[in-house]
Amino acid sequence: MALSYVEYYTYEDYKQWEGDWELISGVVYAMSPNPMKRHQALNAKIAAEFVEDMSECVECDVLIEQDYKIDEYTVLRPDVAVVCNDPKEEYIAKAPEIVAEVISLSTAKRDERVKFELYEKEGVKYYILVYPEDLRAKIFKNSESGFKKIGDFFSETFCFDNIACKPCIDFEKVFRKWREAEQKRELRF
Amino acid sequence: MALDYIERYTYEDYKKWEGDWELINGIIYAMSPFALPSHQLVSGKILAQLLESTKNCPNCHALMESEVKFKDETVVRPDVFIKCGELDDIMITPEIIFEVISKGSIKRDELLKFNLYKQEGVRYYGLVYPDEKRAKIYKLINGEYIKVFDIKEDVLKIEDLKCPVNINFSEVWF
Repeated sequence: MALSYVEYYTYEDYKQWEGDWELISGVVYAMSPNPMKRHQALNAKIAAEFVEDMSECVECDVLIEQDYKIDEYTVLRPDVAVVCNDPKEEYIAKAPEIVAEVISLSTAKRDERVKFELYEKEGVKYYILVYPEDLRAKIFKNSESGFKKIGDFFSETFCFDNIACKPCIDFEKVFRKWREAEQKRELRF
Repeated sequence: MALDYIERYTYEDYKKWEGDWELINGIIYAMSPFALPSHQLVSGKILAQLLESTKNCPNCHALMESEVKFKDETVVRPDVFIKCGELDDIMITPEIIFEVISKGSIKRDELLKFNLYKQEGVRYYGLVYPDEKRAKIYKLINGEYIKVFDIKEDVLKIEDLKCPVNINFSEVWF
């Protein structure tokens, strides 16, 4: 019935919008309008881990919430992206080497399914899903047969050996603050 | 594939967004950011005449692009309309709605909103084509929209509304 009519938008439309959106196959998706502090703080910590190791890295940039334009109908905004050798200034045109998404309740399905498939198809080498509630990260590595989970990370360090400038993430450092707060709470009881 | 994935939003989400949007059955639609100046002018002139009409109806208001919330998942901002009752009550069904058609909005106005307004019981729906200097007015009869006026330069007079309207279309076109 006509009521299920969907309008398809393009990057040209997307560019003009106010507010925070993603565009997937021409369909508009809202980004969480007021993300939790922990979400934003984890974003910053992950980006910081990359920046620390890549500050002298000429070929690569660490980008936060930058437009990643996959095609005319699909524009994503990864929380953190490590992008190498991409000359385009306006948006990320080349598939990032690494993408990290911090999961919130409202975006879980989108990050774990739709964006998972898109990043996999586009050749993103590593996909990191960060779970703020569990203080845990899942890392997937791309292969001939798609994303394969390398493991669950709570306080380990993982190094991305086949990425230029070989960055590492120390998850103990990333989650430390909140883990300590939790432990303090538990000690009281 | 990504195409099968649909997220449905509600008025709660809608309220938090920046920019100009409509929400129909939980699906987001962008409002055209650049309506042509001539279209805005036509909208404004229709509004001006509706404001005149509502002078005689103290409880009725002529509004432009104001929110109308039909359901939790459906909030639209019709170009020009009249509603009667509490001004701040966005759930009141308008008496009459006019949508000014631009190239990008044809399908949305002629199909999607046509069916939506019909379903929600909006008594009169006017589709205004500024480039053709023409307006088609539909009346809700037994749950269907029947075209009752096809106007170019004439005066539109509708008596059977809570607030009767009078629009001289020769003064509306640019």
